[in-house]
Amino acid sequence: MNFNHPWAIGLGALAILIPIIIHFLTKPRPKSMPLSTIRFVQDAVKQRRKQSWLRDFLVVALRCLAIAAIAGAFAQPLFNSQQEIVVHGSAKTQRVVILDSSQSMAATESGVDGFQAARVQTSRFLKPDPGLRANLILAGATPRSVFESPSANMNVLSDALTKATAKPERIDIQAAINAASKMLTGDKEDVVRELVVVSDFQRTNWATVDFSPLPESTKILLESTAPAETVGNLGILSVGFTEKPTAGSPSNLEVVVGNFSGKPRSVKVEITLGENVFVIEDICPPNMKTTLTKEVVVQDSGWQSGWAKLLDNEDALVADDAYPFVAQTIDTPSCTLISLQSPRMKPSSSYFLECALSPYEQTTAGRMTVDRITPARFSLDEVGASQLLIFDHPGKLAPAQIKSIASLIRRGRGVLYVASESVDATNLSLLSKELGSDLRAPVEMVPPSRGKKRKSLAIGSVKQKRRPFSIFGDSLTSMLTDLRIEGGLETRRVPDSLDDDILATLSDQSVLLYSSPAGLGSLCVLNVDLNASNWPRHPTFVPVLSELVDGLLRANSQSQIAFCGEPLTRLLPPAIVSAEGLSVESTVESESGFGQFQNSGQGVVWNWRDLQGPGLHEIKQAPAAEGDPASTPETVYALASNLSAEESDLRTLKADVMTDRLAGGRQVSFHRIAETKEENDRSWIWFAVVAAIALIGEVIALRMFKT
Amino acid sequence: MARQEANSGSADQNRSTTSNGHSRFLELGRLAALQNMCFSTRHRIEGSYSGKHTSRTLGGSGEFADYREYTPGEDLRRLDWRVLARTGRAYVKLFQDETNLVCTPVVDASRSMQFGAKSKTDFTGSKLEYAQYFVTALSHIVSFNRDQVGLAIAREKLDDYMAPGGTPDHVRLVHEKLAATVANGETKWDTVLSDLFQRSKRRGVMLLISDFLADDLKEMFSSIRLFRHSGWEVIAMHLVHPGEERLPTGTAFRFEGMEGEGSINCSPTEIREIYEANFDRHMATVRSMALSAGCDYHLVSTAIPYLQTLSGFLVERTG
Repeated sequence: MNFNHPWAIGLGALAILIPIIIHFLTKPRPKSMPLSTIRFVQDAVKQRRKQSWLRDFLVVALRCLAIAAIAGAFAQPLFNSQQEIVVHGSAKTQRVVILDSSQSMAATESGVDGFQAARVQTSRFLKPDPGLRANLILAGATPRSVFESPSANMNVLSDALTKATAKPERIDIQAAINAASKMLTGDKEDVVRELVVVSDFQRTNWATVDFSPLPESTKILLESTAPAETVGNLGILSVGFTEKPTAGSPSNLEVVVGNFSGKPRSVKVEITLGENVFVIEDICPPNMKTTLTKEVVVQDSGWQSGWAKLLDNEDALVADDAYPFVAQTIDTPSCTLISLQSPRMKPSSSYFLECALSPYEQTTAGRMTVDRITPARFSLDEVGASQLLIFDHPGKLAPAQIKSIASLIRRGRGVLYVASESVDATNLSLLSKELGSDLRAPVEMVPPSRGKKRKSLAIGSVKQKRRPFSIFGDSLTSMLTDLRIEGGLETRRVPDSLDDDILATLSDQSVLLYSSPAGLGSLCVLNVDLNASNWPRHPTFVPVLSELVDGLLRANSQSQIAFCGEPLTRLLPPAIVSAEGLSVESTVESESGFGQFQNSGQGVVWNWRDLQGPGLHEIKQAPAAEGDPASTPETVYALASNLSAEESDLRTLKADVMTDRLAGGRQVSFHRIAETKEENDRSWIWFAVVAAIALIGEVIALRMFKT
Repeated sequence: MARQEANSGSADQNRSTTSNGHSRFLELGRLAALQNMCFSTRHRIEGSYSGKHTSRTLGGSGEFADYREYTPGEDLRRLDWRVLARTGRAYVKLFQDETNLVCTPVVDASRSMQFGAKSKTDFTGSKLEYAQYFVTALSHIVSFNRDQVGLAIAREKLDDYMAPGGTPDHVRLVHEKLAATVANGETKWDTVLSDLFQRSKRRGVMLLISDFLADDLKEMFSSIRLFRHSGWEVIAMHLVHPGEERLPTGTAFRFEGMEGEGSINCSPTEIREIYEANFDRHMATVRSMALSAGCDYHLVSTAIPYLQTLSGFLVERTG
């Protein structure tokens, strides 16, 4: 236990002597008097002696207690300032201090910066001490340690601590613990291993932390800078269009606001998109995320960037009150149909597809164009600008074409594959292999067994509440009764795959339709021979196909978001064919630059080891004709670096969760600075109360003993 | 008050007699009002001479009391011849003799009787002084009524004893002896009373003046019972000083025992109640023991002037 004012303890120790001295000095000097009846006095005194001694003892003890309590109130003792870990020890100690430098640490309460308190608390564990070797890890999206291993050079650690600030990034605490584990692991048995973590212990970051990588003998001290009660916070969690906006057409812009406080909050969000400014107002229920929607018409095509800002908001965390976002506005939704079938072949599967996409033009997507090419013409240059690829009877695709398709899917393109021939099974298998872990297809397509024909298959099951069937509502089942599917491929379930991706099955348990995300895009497979089936003539065909296309175009509407502090590896759109001539314009100042562009087999990759932000970053491409003064660099890609939504939720884990459930058998002690501070701040009151009680007790004792 | 009255006749505390040869405790002027009063007893007494008091014996003179049949061998002079002549029976006439009273005041002269004195050299206001005034006055009245008075001073032993006498010289000697009495030591009542009993030749009245602050109260009253069995009338005068009844006010006192009990420091406030209870219990004990021993018990406070006490005592005694 330490004291804020240790001098008061010394003074108090001397002051305690005062009542004892006073007791003896103020003892009345007896007046001598002869008394014949002294025997009765002696009897009386004998009877009162124990009582008098008890009274004197009580009075002196209570006076001493009162003075000691007053001294204690002035000294302001610091309780529980350290627990298992000794701040100043003499044993050989290896100590790693992890300081949470995520954005949530900058949360303020009553004007006090949480990170400043954490820095002060951390400094206590980095004071020079014989036998102590320490290291400091600033834990953000990636752990940044001052030394590679614990060192005795505390001055450098203190300097690093002084310069440390809370960064606009989330914390990967597991990575920090793993890094600390490497530093603490060693063969020496006579070394005391200590891990100190100074953090706010946000629930969102710490719920799955695992201390088991640490050596078993490690003493763990968790120092929480979070206030005793969760501070209310209001933050913008995400901003984006529900679908890729089309120039001149209304699109819905969604702003997700999280109200992490116990009261409903009135929210006013100002959205700046280009030169347009919108304001959305709503009321957010407590402890909930609320989605605010605004219909926006963007006139220009290309990359649009903007900011969403919370107005009139005073809360704990300022950083999450502004949120940058970008969106790519498409001028004309374009679709490319790749098929070996002749355009003049009517009826045919590709003919039905081409016709089915026509009504879509008048309904939602406006002037959607469908280009029809043969697989031989398929190349990245040919289809690079197309937002959707539809494969129908493409025949055997070359490996290069498979690679190109995979690359396009990874970069956000949607692909609809109508599988009806045996070769389609091969194509899909090769595509699945090419996409690798990016694609988790629920089924594997296999050619039908020889002699076994897929005929007159009815619809087995559909996901009524999912696209593309959700538009039919409850009438879906009755509408699909007379639908008969012919042809297609047999399917085999992939173990551990997701059932959710399967949207419809047939009566033979084979899959009719599935849609799986892959990279930034998605792959949708329709398992049917449209020419042989009655579906193209069925009233559900056009709506189902329109919904499918709509969903594929909508995909990747928010893919231009990355989190600050994390490494960025982004495959740029297919329109960017070379890294040469690319430059970055950013709203963020970065001393280390804005990363590097590299040509790869799949396209141009943008690598940025430590994404800075929050802000907007636009990749400009120099015009092809150099020296033309009229030509200006064109924005070919835009990215918004944001703060992770996890940082807005300032709710913390309880101490028992940290010490019991997450401890992993390690010796973990949890200590909340705010509680101690509050306790210490209040301690003088308790001492004053004790002093008052002692003085009142003295009066009561004197009255009880009738003195 | 009492002390002032007591002191009024004593110009010089160190002298036992005044210029006219009387004891300094003898205030004749004040006693003039009491000279017509008589110190009497409720019992028949045994005296040496004839006097005003009823004798224990029925003699041949005095007031007729009764008849009794003649027993051969009796003095024929007391035979009532007239009755013999008229009835032929022999009766003897009995007459109640009257004799003088023999009073022996026993004064406690232990150190505790010095309580209330102004200082170690000036005994004004002490219980002993009160006793000296009282006994001097009483002895004067007793001798004035032609009775005999003696004196016994009780300390560790019977230091001064004067057998009862009625002559003026004897009374003067009694006064002088009394005036010269100084409190000293503690009183061994058992020894004193045993000695007194052996030295007393005639039964009479024993006036015991003491504060009864003795350790051997039981033995004391055992000895008194001896006197009572022998036909003595014992009057116990319990002298109490107001300073003994109530402890002085003040924060702290060092009380010093007057008979070698040592000293003790205390705050009177703390022990006042217990002290008073103890003192009251002591008073009740003395009274109870005195009455059970057949004594005539009188509680006398020195706050009351001794003449007033004497007057009340004599009124009661005169009957």
